[in-house]
Amino acid sequence: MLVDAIAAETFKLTKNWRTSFFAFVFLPVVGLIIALLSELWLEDAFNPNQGGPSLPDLIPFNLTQAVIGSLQPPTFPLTILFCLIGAAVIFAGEYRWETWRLMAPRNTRTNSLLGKILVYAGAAAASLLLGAVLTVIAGLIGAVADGQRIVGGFEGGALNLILGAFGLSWVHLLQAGAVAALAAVATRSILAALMVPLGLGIAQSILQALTSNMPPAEMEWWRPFLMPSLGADILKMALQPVPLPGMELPSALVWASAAALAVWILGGFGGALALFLRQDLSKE
Amino acid sequence: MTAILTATNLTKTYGDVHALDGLTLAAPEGGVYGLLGPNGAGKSTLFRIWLGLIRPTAGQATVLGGAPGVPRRIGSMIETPRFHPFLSARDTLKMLSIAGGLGGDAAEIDALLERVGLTEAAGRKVKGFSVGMHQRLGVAAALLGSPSMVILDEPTSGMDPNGINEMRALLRSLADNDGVTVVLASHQLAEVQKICDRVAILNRGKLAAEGKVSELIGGAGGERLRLSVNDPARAQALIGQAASLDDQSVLAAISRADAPALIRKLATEGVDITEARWVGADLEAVFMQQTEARDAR
Repeated sequence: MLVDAIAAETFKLTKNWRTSFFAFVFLPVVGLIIALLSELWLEDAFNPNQGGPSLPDLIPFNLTQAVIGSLQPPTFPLTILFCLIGAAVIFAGEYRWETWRLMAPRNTRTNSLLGKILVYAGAAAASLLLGAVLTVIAGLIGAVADGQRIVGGFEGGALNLILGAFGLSWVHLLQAGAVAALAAVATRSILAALMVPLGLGIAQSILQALTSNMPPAEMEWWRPFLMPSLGADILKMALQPVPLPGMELPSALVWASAAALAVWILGGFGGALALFLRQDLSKE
Repeated sequence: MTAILTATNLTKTYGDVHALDGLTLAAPEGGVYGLLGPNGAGKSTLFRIWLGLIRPTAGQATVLGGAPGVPRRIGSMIETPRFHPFLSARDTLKMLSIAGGLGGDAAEIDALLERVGLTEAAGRKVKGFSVGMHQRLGVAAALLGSPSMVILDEPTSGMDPNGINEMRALLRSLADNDGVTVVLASHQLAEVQKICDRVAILNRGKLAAEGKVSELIGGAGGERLRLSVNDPARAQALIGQAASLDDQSVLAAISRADAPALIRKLATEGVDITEARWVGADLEAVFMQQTEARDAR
């Protein structure tokens, strides 16, 4: 049953604590430490108004914006990189350790791979949430220490914005994981499972940077299919209650972006499953 | 005789190599069933097909009456088993038990570890295990969930003599006391002769012989006279169909009453006999006969 495959995969991941820690916990913890250092020490050390309040201290601490910011941090490419380490081990580990012939007779191949996909999806979501919670805690500690006023909350539209930010970042991690899964099954290699999505992501980022000045209204529908991170960015913009001037999004582009991410995720995981169902597992 | 594992015209090719070549075989329920064959005979390939790890190129295979690749209460160990290096022996069995929907019952896991002699190493990481310990853990993993049948590929490979004896006793006990059908592949013919009730001899992907061990050995001619001679080919020609060559000796399938006359005849014909002794037929003799006969065709 699928639930058994999920439980076994979770058990393995919790026992493989080095991978679990570095893939899904390390970055949020480092983020917390950096945020605390920044809030409690660096800000004061570089405050031109020595002894008085720094410029950020004069601005109220907006809890809603802090949560959204923590879910879509500028360091998100690093989040993808670390989650890819976990994805590579989850999807290619059985090939690396030659354990498929041990595992495969105990559950169906479909359940075994779906179990891995769902455990990766859960771990990525947990890592994202942990990073967000720790970043917001660091922000709140800094705000209290600096005497900042705390505004914002989780009601109404704010909650939708937060859920949207979380969902988009998670989908982005799933898209990277889907490429890792396909690369892992196709190549039976942990290194390829890490390097293929990484290389692809870098190439897509360069492509996206080359078209960064293009107004959304002029953007062709196929671009998000070529660059899924562009699709994620377009959907982020679409979540904003009021669009920035000149950045109004054609609805076709928004739908194309959503479809592009779905195609990448379903194509990656589906392709991995289709390949895995036909694969010779006698030699890993 | 109820067949729990079957192969019908089973063929598996890797490029130009025929790992299995139209093999037809039926392993019966109960007892210990052995698959014998030289390297590349197709034993492991057959096991892999039965376990759904690979697909046959042609032909059909069934496991407990159904198609391979569907998880059932079958234990298995293919080749030298590999395990997750970060798991202990106990955690390995727990994880496998969970994966198979058995819930990871701690009492069962501890009992299995004791049964294969790994109680003291239960908490140790598998990556530090010897080959023999891997084998023991592999057998324990195969026995999770009290399966009705276990498929074991070279279960005593890499074990010391004590370990081999313990494993032999365990496998025999599984068949005799627990009603488990044990299907194993092995190169160790003396070992197989001691624990198997029936054997199938594979050679170049085909079935060379199949039957009860006692019948196969009996069919091989029982007791034979081994003659060490200066000209084995001439001696074979003089003895006729009852003779077969074995290294620098001739094996003569004759009765003890006919032996003096045969020795006199060879001496008269100028064949020097340096040694003559009676040897009993064993599975090795059957194996050699069957594989050589097929190679000669």
